[in-house]
Amino acid sequence: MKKALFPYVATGVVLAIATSANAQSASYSLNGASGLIDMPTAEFLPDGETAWTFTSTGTVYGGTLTFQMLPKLETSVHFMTIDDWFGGTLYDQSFDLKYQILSETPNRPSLAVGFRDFLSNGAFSSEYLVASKNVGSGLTVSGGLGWGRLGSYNPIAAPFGSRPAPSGTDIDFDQFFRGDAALFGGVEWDTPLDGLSVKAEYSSDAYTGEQVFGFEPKSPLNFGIDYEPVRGVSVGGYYNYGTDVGIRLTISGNPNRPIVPADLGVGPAPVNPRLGEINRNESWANNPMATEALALTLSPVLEAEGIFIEEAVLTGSTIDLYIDNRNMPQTTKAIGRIARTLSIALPHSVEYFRITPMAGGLATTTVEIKRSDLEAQVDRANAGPDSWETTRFTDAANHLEEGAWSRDVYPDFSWSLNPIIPVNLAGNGSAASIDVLLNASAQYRISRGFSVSGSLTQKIYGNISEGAVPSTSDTPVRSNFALYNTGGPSLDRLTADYTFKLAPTTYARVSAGYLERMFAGVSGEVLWMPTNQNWGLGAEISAVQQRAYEDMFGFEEYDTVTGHASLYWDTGFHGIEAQVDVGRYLAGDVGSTVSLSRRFENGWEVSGFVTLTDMPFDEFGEGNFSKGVAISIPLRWTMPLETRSATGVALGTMGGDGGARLQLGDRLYTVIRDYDVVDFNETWGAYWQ
Amino acid sequence: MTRSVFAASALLLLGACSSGGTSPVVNVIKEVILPPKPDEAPAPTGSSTLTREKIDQYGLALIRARIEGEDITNLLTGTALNGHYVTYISSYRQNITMLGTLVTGTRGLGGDLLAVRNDANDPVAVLTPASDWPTALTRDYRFPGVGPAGKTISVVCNLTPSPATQITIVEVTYDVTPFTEVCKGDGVEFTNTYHTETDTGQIWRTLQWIGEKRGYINIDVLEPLTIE
Repeated sequence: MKKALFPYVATGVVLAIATSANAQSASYSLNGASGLIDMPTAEFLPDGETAWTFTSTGTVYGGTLTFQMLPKLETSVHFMTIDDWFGGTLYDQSFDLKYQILSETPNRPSLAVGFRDFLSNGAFSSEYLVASKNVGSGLTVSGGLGWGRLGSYNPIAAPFGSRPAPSGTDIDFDQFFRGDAALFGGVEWDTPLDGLSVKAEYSSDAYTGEQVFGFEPKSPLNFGIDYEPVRGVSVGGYYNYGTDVGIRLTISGNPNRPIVPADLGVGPAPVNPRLGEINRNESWANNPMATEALALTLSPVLEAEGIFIEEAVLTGSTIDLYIDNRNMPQTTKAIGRIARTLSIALPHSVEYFRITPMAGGLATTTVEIKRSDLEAQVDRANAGPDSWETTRFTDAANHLEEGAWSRDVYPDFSWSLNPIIPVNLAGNGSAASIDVLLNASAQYRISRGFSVSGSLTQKIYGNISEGAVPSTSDTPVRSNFALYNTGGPSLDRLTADYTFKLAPTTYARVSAGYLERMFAGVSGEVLWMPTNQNWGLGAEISAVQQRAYEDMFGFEEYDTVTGHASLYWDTGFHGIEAQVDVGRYLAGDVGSTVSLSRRFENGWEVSGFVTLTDMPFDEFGEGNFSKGVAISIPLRWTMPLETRSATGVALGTMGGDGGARLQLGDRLYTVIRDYDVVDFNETWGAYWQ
Repeated sequence: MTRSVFAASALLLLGACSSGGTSPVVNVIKEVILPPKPDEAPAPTGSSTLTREKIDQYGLALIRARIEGEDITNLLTGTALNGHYVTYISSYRQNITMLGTLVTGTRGLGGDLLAVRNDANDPVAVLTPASDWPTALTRDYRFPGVGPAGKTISVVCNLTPSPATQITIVEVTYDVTPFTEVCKGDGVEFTNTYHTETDTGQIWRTLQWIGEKRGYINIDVLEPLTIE
């Protein structure tokens, strides 16, 4: 039996297990962020670390999503339930930030500042300064000063004055670091047993709100044990306040720590340089069938790697290819592999390879590679930077010149079946409610850019619609969302869509039909995004009518016109992209949405958004204002396969009528954002892979 | 004996593609991209089935490689020559590129090594009699990362010879001087070994670091590249 040198599937799995066993990772606190038990530390998780934590104590239970957004910035979103909080049950959603002011050195501790529950000024609102120092033998000592809830036990002073009462309607910046301050601290010891650590802390939290309904802390001292049997899974058990027991389960992952080793698979075709100046005659190009012959012969070779030639033109010196890369997560890798194949296949006279990747039926950026540069750079030590310097990038026209060869594939039908897990942060009187849905989607592509798409959803499990009653809102654009999710199947979408380019730098989309589960109508969008620019401008306008929730094809009376102007900015800083949308939302309210996302070069993306409009918090509905977070994880991160597919989870407020925007399919920026020079630069290392 | 890289000519006239039948373009691409058929190449695994006679009959530059810590060894055939860089390919299209005997690139093995910068007098890259090997050198190892240059690990290496000895690779015994190379830099430390033919400087057996994710690779040079 023949054996492979590197049997990548089995080896990859074994290696992943072998390298992950008993590895030590960061320490999580009971609230899911890095820390001791209830108290924070100045220690941080690895960059990009993303963790789900589930917690239960005698006073609070719920979940937390923690994301190390930047090497010095940790963010956490909590969905907690406090059963006994000032007279009733509190469902609290809160957002925390922790920033590293100083990193630890042999002569000084690390120093961090943190804000807990600072957007809504809720049950956990507090601020702190904390220092941590590893003093050797696995022992880390932390100590700090807390305000707000963290300044409620045995306060020492109020150094910056009294703390104003919460406004309840806005972010109370004037509360920060005001009022009583109290000391807290603790130690953590990484024992010699792999993955096992013990903790002890002195808490500055008096649990004032919980005391009203009977919780009686007997001691400020908390003790705990953390155990991480395998990297990515951590459990903890704690004895708190002399009276309470808490448990924690944390499941974590990191874009920089793939489950299977990166780059396992098939290597690229080797490049052999042409010899001298011989045989560069272009007379072969007089054959009118040359382009078609080449396209038909190259297609099976490239299709083996998931690359499809859509259009082609070949002259004696230049080849133009419009390609559809369906498998490789990094477009630059596909471009490099095409260039290598062309260097093998084409007559010596062809000096320029012009490769244009397409996305959603749209031609994006033309990448022009000079063949002699490729030959001179391949395998060399400086191949990456040198090839970046010699490659040209231009905005592509949506089609090649008239008479170009084009792939005869239309009409084309495709379908998919996917599970979806929407999580509502504030619905139906609970901190969070979850559905598990099965979604079937299909697309019939009539021509490039023109398609009819449909999407059906069937609920498998869930509680989002439990107890749903019609909303009393004057503009129930979203507050009846639960009524739309009572079972299924439901028609989420049935539209005709046309994408095209108004100019090489300007993309456009028109959609009509049942645009989303709650609205139908007509929608148009334009995006100006030159490829050499790290920002773009977009505009979208839609005329819609609300769909009936009991009838798959019927309508309610409410109709409106909604639209936004959008600014997109790829900051180039740690993969962070920003988006600002300003306009009129579905309920007629006017405001803006600010979105931030961090995208890693392997496709991981963690994003969040906040929408504020002129609709007052008390009219908004559940959640006070619209917000959400989402994680998208490429399947390539988990499996040794070349695939552009991704999986993920999104959490957001679904019941608020304010700040509600049409939930369309992919908007233009989402479709083309991987195809500009900024993104190509970030992933250009893959060009030689 | 002279060996040459299995290099396919790209001299193709597309006019021939329209004449019907199997395209010569496809044939050449297959020849270059796909590995030789099993009956054309020596047995790909298992040193017990590999003989010097088979290597000689094969007639191409050939190495035998194994990731340190794994059991499986396979053969890679020299398939492309760019400058002095030779790319060897396994039957599973996983690539190793070498400059002399310095591994400067891997593809498909996991944790690709993109490229290596070496000193001009690096004896692993350029044939150097054992007596002329330097005691120290520098290298830059490049891996995928953000930006065209990716992530670079720069190291300083110190070379130490050991007493001459003999090694046997597929029926051929060589008089070699073993060298140990300890490299440090950018938070990384690793140790390479080279069994160098004392007179010519040809390295026949080596253990080299190819990155933090993959560790080391063992390579036996079964038939080195020579250019006519």
